[in-house]
Amino acid sequence: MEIKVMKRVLDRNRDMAARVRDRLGSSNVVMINMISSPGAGKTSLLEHICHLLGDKMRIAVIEGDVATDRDAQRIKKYEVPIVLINTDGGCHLDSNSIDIALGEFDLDNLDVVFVENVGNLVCPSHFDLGETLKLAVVSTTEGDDKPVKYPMLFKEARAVVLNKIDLMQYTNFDHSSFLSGLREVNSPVPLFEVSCRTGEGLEEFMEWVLEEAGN
Amino acid sequence: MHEIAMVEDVLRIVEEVARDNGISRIDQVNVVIGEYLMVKPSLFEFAFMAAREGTRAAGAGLTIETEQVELECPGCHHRYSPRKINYNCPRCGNPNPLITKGKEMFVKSIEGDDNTG
Ligand SMILES: Nc1nc2c(ncn2[C@@H]2O[C@H](COP(=O)(O)OP(=O)(O)O)[C@@H](O)[C@H]2O)c(=O)[nH]1
Ligand SMILES: [Mg+2]
Ligand SMILES: [Zn+2]
Repeated sequence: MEIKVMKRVLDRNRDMAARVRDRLGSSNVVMINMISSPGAGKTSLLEHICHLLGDKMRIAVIEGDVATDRDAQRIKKYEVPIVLINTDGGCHLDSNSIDIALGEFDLDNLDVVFVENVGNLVCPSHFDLGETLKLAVVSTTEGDDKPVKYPMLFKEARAVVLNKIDLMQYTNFDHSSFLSGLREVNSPVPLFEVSCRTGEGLEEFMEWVLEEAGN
Repeated sequence: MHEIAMVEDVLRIVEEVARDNGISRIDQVNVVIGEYLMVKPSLFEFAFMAAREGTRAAGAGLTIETEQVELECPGCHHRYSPRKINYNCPRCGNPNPLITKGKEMFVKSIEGDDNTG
């Protein structure tokens, strides 16, 4: 016999994400879910954010890491509250671990929580963390085809950072094809072209962060 | 890569439904995966075959139906299917259409024998 089921998969993650969103909302905290390939520059960007904005807003960080605490160690020196989530090989964070991590923070005394997701362009887009917005980070060393190859992430991103523009001249990264690909996937999304090495473009990006976090 | 997490949730759902309906052996699991999710059916199937061991679906087959994306324009209410990755409304150019279909993954049905059968 055949039985109709019609039940959504990963609903428990969605339900928990809704709970996280409520928690954040009631404490007026913005949560930014940073998604990129490994090595695109999420941690570097976070270091700049903590350094440049640490006295302008109250920041906390959730570090998703497959197995180590290396990124968390890099952020520690900025003296922001930080929780490390090891996914034990898992390719994404889920809303349940975020809910637990938030328990470590004094939410009423925070403005923004940055989540560094596990380096991966597909899986994190399938798991709503309850974030306020997603930030996609790509770098010039990954090739210019990421937006068209991973349209889901780039459609859902509230903003896109193109990092490592200092290296563009040494790669075959085609800026105009990157741009046309991105615009095809998401024509209005703000794009920040930066270098975490030279600091170029960071000022404008920080203004955007302040604006988004300033609810 | 996280097909395992999805498949485990599928198995949790079908075990529950089987139990509630007195089905001891599930022969077939039918799932629908939205095109938007870009889940590779072959990987999903591979994960399913590995994870079904020890469940009521241990010998079950799997069919995966891909659901095409359907959109609705919030500006002019035009309903359409996108051509490839550009989702902008073809009538008014609105870049933020609602995805009305093709972004979900769900268990559609299961087939199996009840205990009395
Ligand atoms: N040349 C250059 N290297 C960068 C830039 N941003 C990050 N890196 C380097 O790229 C590597 C990976 O950066 P990281 O922030 O750890 O990336 P994550 O894996 O996304 O967190 C590190 O060695 C960084 O020093 C940049 O703008 N230019
Ligand atoms: Mg990192
Ligand atoms: Zn329209």
